[in-house]
Amino acid sequence: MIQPEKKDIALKVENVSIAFGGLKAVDDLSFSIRRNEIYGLIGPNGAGKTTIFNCITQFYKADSGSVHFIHSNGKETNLMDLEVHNVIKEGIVRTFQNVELIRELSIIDNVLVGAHHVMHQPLLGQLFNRGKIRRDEEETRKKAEGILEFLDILHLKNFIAGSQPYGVQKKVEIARTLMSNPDLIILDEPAAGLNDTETKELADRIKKIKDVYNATILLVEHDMRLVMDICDHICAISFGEKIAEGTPKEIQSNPEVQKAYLGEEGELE
Amino acid sequence: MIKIVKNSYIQFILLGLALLTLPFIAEMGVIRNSTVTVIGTTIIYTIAALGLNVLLGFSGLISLGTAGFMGLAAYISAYVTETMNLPFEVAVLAAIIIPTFLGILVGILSLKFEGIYLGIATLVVAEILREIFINVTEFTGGASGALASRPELLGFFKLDRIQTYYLIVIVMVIIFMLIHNLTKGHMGRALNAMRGSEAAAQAMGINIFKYRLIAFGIATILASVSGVLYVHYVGLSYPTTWNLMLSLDFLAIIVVGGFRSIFGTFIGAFILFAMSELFLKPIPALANIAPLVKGILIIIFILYYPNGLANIKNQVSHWWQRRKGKKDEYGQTKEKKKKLTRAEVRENDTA
Ligand SMILES: Nc1ncnc2c1ncn2[C@@H]1O[C@H](COP(=O)(O)OP(=O)(O)O)[C@@H](O)[C@H]1O
Ligand SMILES: [Mg+2]
Repeated sequence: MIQPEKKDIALKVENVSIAFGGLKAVDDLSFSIRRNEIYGLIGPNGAGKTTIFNCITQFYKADSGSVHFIHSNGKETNLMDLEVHNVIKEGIVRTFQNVELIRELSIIDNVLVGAHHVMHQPLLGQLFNRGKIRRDEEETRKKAEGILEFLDILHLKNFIAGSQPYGVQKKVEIARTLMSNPDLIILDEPAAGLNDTETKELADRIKKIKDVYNATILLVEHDMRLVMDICDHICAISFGEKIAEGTPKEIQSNPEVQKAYLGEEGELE
Repeated sequence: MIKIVKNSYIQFILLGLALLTLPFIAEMGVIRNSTVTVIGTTIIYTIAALGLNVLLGFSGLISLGTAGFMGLAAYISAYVTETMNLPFEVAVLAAIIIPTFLGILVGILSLKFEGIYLGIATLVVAEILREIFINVTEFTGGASGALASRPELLGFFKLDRIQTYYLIVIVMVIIFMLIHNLTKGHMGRALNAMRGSEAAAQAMGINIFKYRLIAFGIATILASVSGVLYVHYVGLSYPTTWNLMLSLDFLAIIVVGGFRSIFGTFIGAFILFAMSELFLKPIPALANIAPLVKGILIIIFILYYPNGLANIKNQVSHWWQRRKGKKDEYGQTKEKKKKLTRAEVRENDTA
């Protein structure tokens, strides 16, 4: 595979390792993601995919290695220096494998949480509900409605998030990421629990998100059709180590990948 | 008209106005003067319970120390006005700032202790405070208590019992409005997120440390305001008042009234405090069962109505709307719901 030029790269994961007890969940893993591409991370269950996401978003601090995010203006940030809640300020936002929503709140309120860091509301202003605050709320709400419409769930906006089917909850999580004006969106198994039609629709939406929001997308997914369909590049890992990287075609014909998946998912299509 | 009444500010003001009429009704002989005093005390408890509701209801953080902070504020205000002879306003400031500072320190503890352990940690702080109330007699008057007179505003306007009651009602309405502002928007979402999913909150840029301190800060400010009003309304403060039972009462108030509901907090305080004072205690045969009734109420609510009375109100109005057949629970007609356009949804929202 031809190495991309530095200025085209959005995220650079270099020699990252992390162990839990004796178990090496991620072992000296490196990969780079180009700006504005869809990059897939695949591997059997327990391969370390979620763990590497956690290392990128600083929910875990890697034992060694580095994770650099390169802004479109060329500025480079070592994410390992950041506290977990400051990662989103760099334009990096994620979803969770097991949907993380505020179950008791309405869908729209859940989505509004995604705008937390782009809203500048001093406490005193909020206390007295100043005009500026009200306008900010109003505008943010409109933006949220626009995103819900984009994902076809606007009609559900006032329903309680926890009472919605899994597929809708997954969409709410994606909607929430879009509120933060992200440059890099990290999706952990976005199609898990969706049926075939929903998965197809999701594939279409993810591609649209990339174009409309001009974002780079990193995703973990078990649905091989989805991965092969929408990803520009794929990295396959097994037991925390990279076993192959390349275009969907290259990955499909890679014998190592075939071997890792044998007995897990059956065959790769 | 309905639209106006739906505005929360108007609802708070209407409640305030209704409460302001009570002394007149007592004057006319319809209710007793002591009833007004009970309602005034209920409002004072509502304020402290609302602080706990911000902490527990919104942020998911437990505290068993509410009574301790309330008591500390009561003693400080009594000491500053009576012993130091300083103006009421100075007393209020001191009685809010000192406990709140302590409350924020406890907030820092909350990063180390989770759940039940946080409850125990706050309880320990409250018990230490109670030891101080009993033993530091120069400051608290020890077991014989501290005395405080009615508030003197701006150094010349001395309030009597009824005027103090008015002050309490006005403070309550203002606090309701401010807490409504804080919890319905940006900060409320951050606290909700922190409770709902700490991981999601952090991923969305919410600084857990900062918001835990804010939650503890608000809870202690309201407990302090409550303590100040208490000591200048009731006139004295005993160490025995500020015990674990009172903190548990605040907990019970929000369990019964409803998490995250301002009105629910008021109703909870009314049911748990005013009802037993007004209806059970005057009847000798029932006076002793007041704690039992309290206990049963709490169990019923935890088991059957975990969202408190505030939510029962919603359920009743949903049921009523369904019965009317026209509208579903979100106020949208059934035929329309299937294919709402964006404009229609917005229209429904503002209606
Ligand atoms: N916080 C943790 N503590 C201990 N072990 C962990 C932790 N997070 C992940 N692991 C382990 O690391 C390995 C990789 O897990 P994960 O990254 O979730 O796999 P997946 O590729 O299915 O997302 C698993 O063996 C898992 O048990
Ligand atoms: Mg996983």
